[in-house]
Amino acid sequence: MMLVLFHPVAGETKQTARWQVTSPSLPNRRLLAPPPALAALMGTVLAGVDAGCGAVYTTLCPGRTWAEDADQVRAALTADLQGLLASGQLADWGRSAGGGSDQLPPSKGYRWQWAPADVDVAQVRQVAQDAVGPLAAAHGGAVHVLAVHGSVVQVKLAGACRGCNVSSSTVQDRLATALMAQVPGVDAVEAV
Amino acid sequence: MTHTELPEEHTTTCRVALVGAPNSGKTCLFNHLTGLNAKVANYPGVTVAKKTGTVLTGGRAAELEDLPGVYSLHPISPDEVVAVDVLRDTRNPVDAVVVVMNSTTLCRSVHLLADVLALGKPVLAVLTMNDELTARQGSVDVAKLSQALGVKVHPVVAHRGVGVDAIGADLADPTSWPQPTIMAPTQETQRHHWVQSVLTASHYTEPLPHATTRALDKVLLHPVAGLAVFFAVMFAFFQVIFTVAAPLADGLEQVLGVAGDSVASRISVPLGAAFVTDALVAGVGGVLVFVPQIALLFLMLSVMEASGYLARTSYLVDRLMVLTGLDGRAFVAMLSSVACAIPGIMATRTMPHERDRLATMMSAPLMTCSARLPVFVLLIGFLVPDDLRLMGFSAQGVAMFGLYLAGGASTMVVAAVLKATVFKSGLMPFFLELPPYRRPSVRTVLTQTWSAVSEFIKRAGSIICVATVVLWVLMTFPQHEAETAAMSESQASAYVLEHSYAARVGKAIEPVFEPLGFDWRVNIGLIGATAAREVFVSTLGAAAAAQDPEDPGQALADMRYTSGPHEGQVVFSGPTVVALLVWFIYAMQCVSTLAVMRRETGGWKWPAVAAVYMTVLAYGLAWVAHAVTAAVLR
Repeated sequence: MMLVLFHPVAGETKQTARWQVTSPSLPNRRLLAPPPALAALMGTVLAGVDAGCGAVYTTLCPGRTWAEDADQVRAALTADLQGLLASGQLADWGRSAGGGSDQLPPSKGYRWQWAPADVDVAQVRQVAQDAVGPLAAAHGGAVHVLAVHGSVVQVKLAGACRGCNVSSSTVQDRLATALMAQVPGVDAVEAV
Repeated sequence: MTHTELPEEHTTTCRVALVGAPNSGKTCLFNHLTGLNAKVANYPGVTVAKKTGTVLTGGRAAELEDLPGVYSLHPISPDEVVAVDVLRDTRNPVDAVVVVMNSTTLCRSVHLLADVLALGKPVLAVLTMNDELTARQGSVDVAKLSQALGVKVHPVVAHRGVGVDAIGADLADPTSWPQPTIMAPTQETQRHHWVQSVLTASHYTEPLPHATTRALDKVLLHPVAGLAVFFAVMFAFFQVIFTVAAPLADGLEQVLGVAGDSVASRISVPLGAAFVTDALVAGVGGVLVFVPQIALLFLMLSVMEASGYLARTSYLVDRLMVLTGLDGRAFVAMLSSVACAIPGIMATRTMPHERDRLATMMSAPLMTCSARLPVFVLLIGFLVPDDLRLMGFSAQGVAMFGLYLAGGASTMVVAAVLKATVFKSGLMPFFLELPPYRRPSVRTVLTQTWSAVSEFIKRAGSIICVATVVLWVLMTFPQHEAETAAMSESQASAYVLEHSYAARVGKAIEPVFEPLGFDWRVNIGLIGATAAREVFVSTLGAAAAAQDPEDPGQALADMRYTSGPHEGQVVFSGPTVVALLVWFIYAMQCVSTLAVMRRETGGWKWPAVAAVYMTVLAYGLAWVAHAVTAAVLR
């Protein structure tokens, strides 16, 4: 049986927590609505729940503190993740999204409601520049983000990167890892 | 940046505790941060009491406390209680905690970090043994680990001091350390899953088992071969003591003799000159000449410790220890007693059971400590000619090996008897972490050897010197000028000695020790030895020098009974020397050991028990040894 493993890391604000889920591996999508156990805390404990980049984000209602509420949020998240595993939704998602299209993770009938990929192109460009810009430049090349189709980012390797198998795969791998970890909705990077 | 002394304008601004698992490189880091030389070893349980040092940083001073190693904050043994008490103390609270995490056993280290974080104090993590992790093909992403834990993580190579300065800088202001907003879960399964998640997020790859360690351990931990190697190593060591150290000691003796003579020749008062040659050179100097032996003993012990071999000996001997009803923890304490019974008794703090702890504390002083070494070397010199060989080995070395074995065996037997009678209790499971073999750091080995040698020299300059001078005064007065006026110089000093205050005491107790073959001069030495065992050597040296300042060694060998049934016979005959050796194996002649026992047990009951049983054993067995040797030699 697959374990549910996660740990909290600091969020953007004091009221936000980012629960990094290392098992199972989650679809890189935002949520349309909180899953049931977390939803039950909405309004009283939690002001917001979202997901993306392998994490679930929770925001506390004003006046609440993590010192008193962390345990119940943790318990609710555990229950929801166990529910997600038991539902088989992830297995279905794995089968249907293998190629990395803009297809939605199946939502119908499941308790986790994933949003369609809605990738912020400006954010993609920023992350791409930070993650591989210096590396490509150091080798006399450059990486240009051409377009985003659904959950797939199309890039063009220019200069010295072009035609070099090693550099292209290095750049592409690194870029894909960075984008999937930082930009919700990205599933793959394609070089054209 | 790091200093041990505090310039006056600085005041300690914060107290920081250093916490980590045993054998995580914590003390090594402490030494680098504070510039102190706390003892470092490659086996668990060396730091049994907290040590403090000062780190000066950015105009502020942080007081750093090195706590005993703990695996968690749920203490099971007294030394772990020390660590936890310091961390939880609310009356004199620590301001912040530095957690040392061994990167080769990161899972356990992260658990400990979570325990510490729950205390709610600022926490800084230090990741040690990264060089070893890499060498064994493990890896970890430090930035991701830091992100996952929510605290700052400093990677260091503690034994080379790499990365230590950055920690020192951070100690200036613990309030600025980032802290996680959400604590790790406390429930056991949740905690375990949290740790797994943190390790996954930081791309942790566990190191492979150490290849060299595995290969070496096949032999060194083998039930038969391993023990054989252990005994061979010890045997070889005592050969080295006599073949390498003895010539050095002779050289040192000559240098001291020449120096003493040249000083004495400039002193016009005869009594003053005698004080220099007899009390200082022959007495205190007679102890100081054992510096090479002491240095070698500690050099060997620290190499064994730092390499990780000493921890293996606990494992090897654990099989034998089971026969005594104690476990390998007790052996760690007994092994420490080879240096000195005091750290040995302190090491019993790692033992979770009071009964086991007492049994170990009562028996550990029988281990051959370094103070016995000079006495044994002197006595073996009377008994075994230095050129005698046994199958090519130095016979003196073999004799010394035998004495150490006798000390070790006696410790085990006494422990077994105590465990079978007064301290009856079940056997606790014993877990010992066997560290991988490491190349001993030259710095660690030399610092440790030097600290032992300087401690010995300090002892010679303080307690041994004072005791020797007091005994010399008692052996030199009254002067009997009228009676000795017509005598030759050596006759005169022999007369003075025999009619001195000390002689009166020595002769008064002569009937007690007569069955063991000890004469009044030996008795004076034994009385002196209650202050410190080495004083036996210095007292006899001073007594012999009074008789023949030219060659005190020969004078000692030729010393004869001055009265009684054996008048005219050599004092240091076979039976007497054997009886003396046995006496020194068993007798509790160490005030400091008794004082430490009192402190550790909280009363005089157990020190009194130890003193009585050891004296009874010493007297009884020395008497038997004297009788048997006399019968054999007849």
